[in-house]
Amino acid sequence: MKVMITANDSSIDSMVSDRFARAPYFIVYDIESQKSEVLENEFLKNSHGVGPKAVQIAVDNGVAALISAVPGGNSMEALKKAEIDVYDGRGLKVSEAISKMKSGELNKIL
Amino acid sequence: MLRQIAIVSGKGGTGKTTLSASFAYLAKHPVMADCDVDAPNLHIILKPEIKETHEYIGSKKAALNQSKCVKCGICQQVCRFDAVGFDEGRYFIREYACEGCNACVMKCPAGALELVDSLSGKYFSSKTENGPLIHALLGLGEETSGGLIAEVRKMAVKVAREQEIPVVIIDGAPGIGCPATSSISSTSYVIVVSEPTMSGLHDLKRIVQTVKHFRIPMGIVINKYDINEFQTDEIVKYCEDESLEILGKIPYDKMVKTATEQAKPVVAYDSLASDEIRKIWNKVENIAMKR
Repeated sequence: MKVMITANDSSIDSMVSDRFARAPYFIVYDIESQKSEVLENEFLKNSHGVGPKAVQIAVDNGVAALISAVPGGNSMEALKKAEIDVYDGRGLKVSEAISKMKSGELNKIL
Repeated sequence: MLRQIAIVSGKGGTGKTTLSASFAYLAKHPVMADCDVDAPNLHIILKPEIKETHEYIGSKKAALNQSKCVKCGICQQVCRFDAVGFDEGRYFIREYACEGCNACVMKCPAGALELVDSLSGKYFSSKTENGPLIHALLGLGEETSGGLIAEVRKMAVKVAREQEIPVVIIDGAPGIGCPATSSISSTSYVIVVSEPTMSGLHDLKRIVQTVKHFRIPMGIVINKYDINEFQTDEIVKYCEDESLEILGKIPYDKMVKTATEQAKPVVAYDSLASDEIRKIWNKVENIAMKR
């Protein structure tokens, strides 16, 4: 299963971003192989409509879950349709968020 | 740990900036972030000295290379926004109308059109008597932009970390749309300023739903509560039903007008409103700073 985590930096030691669609990086982490791929957010500075674009990135990468700050209304609609689970990762490091999700300690919001 | 506290209202004109300016003084050297980038006002009271100016490229717009243009007019036919004009034998782009949709670029047979970065606004890192202020100005005719607000907030967090300042106070954008949500996302605490009018209560309900969506704790301030005690009771009832804490009720006070005219924060003067604002800030410090 693949998980996408929004991140402030390109390493899994960085913090989960304060923003969903305006996160500088998306880290796609494969729980089985424990491999991660780092994607730069090309929509970072667009003035509007970034939420659904970020969801499209999640869909294109085949992720089953997202760890992020709480996404906005439009993003949530798209995430619901795409059947992607959403976990609240505010205040955590990417690596901490992944291990907390695995152990069921992370708050699921969708 | 860095705390970010946002002041929002839904309805405009309820007193966000008045309250924010006072908090700038009461919080003892916070980082202030003016996220009302459409019509920023906080700088009028805080009188910043601009240290850095950054450009915000939020969109792309069509640009026409006249030397390649074959004057076929296809760009004008495909533009849905009436952004291509024709005058004195030349086609030209109306920048304010262009949405950057790319249709003209795709259809131009001569390759005379391209999308180029467009300056949508500027943001500033400044210094005031009471600490840093990050503020911005959206360009005229630009779409209201959560993106520019995101840049302001990022800069505010960066400055707070560099200067080891524990709190960022955000003077939020009005409304409940993109600029407002960009002002509150992932803050530690939200202060919602309401006023006892029908539209005040109506818009309060909408912003409360928005803050709840983002799962952020909040408290309510009723400004000028005594101008309509019936509506104030309605707001109190609503807050009870929704289990929302009322942080304080600020009375109508002529000193607020005096302070505003002098471009000073209300708490620079002794008055009933000033006393209540101090009480509200103490509560916010207790709730938000110790959470």
